[in-house]
Amino acid sequence: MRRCLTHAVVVLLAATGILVLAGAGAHADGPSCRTYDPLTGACVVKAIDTGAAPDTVDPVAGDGAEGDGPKDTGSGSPCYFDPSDNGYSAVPAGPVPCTSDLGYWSAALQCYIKVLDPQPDASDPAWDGRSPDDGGAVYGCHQPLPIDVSVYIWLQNPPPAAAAGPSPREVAEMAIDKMHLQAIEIGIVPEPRPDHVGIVGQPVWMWAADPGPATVGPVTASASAGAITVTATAQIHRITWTMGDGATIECRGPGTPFTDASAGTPSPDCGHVYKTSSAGRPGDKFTVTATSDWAIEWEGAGQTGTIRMDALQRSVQIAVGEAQVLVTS
Amino acid sequence: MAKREMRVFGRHRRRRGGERVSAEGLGGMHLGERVGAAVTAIVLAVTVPAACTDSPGSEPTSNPTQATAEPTTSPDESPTGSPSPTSDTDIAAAGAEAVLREYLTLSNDLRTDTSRPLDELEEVATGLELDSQSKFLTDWREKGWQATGEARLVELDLVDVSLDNSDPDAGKVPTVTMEACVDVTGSDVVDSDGDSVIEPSRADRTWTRYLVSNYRWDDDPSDSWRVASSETLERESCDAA
Repeated sequence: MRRCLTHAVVVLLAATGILVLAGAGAHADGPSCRTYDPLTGACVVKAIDTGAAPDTVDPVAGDGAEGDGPKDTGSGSPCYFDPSDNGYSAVPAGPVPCTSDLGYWSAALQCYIKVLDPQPDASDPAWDGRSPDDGGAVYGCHQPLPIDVSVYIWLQNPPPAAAAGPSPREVAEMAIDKMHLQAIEIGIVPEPRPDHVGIVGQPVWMWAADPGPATVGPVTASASAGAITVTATAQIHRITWTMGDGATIECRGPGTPFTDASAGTPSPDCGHVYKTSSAGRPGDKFTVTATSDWAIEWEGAGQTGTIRMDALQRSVQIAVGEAQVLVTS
Repeated sequence: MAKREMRVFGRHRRRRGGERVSAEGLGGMHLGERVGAAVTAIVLAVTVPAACTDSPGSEPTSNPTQATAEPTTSPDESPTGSPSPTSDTDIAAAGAEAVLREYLTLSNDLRTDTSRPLDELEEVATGLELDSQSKFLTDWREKGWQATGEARLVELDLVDVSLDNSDPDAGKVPTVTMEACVDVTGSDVVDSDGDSVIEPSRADRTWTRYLVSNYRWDDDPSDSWRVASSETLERESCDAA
């Protein structure tokens, strides 16, 4: 196969799929640059070299927590750029427009992709020793760095557009699926058993029984799709109790378990007092429902976000009766 | 019908019959004259395996073709005293050389006169070269850079002529490979604050290999040549002017 020049080396990292461009260099840096500007000595067209993907990504700052907990911050962009792959640690990683005049964003190659038109002569180094008969084409691969970078690479097929891939939020939802989050086991006094009856006017305690990572958190899981890896951490933010008498109680955290020593005293963080009995209700009981409200922080693809989820709930029935006072002479 | 001929003119150039021509034979010529002589030599030339190899993994070839002739005094100097092209190869070489000279002149102009529209590049460049230079010069102007002085063409070597026109869209396009040495001594590039932005490692003289292609060979074999790509060579500096 005809080969005139060997300055350009194209390696697609199989493990990460990330194309790493050789760092900016001057003449003395060797073959990292294909074409220099004679007047300035600046690199106009870079060669391509191997490198390693970073272990960590500098996240873009997200919204902070607010009064009702962190807000759900949307889907994130499937088009992100991490300049630290190319040694630009001062440039924060973050989302980029999915299309521009430079082409469309490839998450795998971390650059804007556009097929060269017309294609360069078969002797051009961008073919990397291949022949047009081998198929494929030469593409421009441009990164939005402070220093303009032009790289031209041969690819057998056009890489998929990042915009067509999953968003970081969708990948975060995959991570959440791995957590197997569950509704809490309801702890409540009076207990939801046939021989237990609460008394109107007496304190009712509610809490999450047997709390664990799957019911109250924190729990962390990661998921990957395409070139995006997201790590999500779930923590229960509040539990909303509907008491069956029209009252709704919001409790931050899992609540405090009742002990006999606490009889007659109100719960310090999650309680209620019934003002009517459950007589006349279905089964002569109140239906008490605990709905878990999760705040799940995710980080990945150079972005961060929050997912709020309140679809997990569990119910029990409790009986509450009037206390009768007998007056004897 | 595809054909490729490798020609060099300079120290190891050969003529018909294997006669070896020393570079000294070119002494005293201006660059244009030397290229003109080269075109003449092309007609008589035999294929010489020079700048390219057919084996994978070969090292970049640098210059068995360097001539010691007196350099030109102007990059836009037209060939003089050269005979009219008589073959496709001659036409290709002459057309490619002419547009490369225009390109080098325009490259200087676009860096010294930032009011010149960048789309003038489309008249002399295409594909990879047009793409990369347009981006580079757009960035140049956004940064407020300004050149004083110029890159002066010192030496120009014809390395290869390929007339494979079997599939231009796919890269099988008539292409002339040339190597140019430019001298930037005395030039400077400053930013909007007047500070020089020249890299400390900038060389005074640089060899660059250019691929000059004609994607309209069938319709216009003479005047549709465009500089298609370039690569800086690690090649011994050309001789002093």
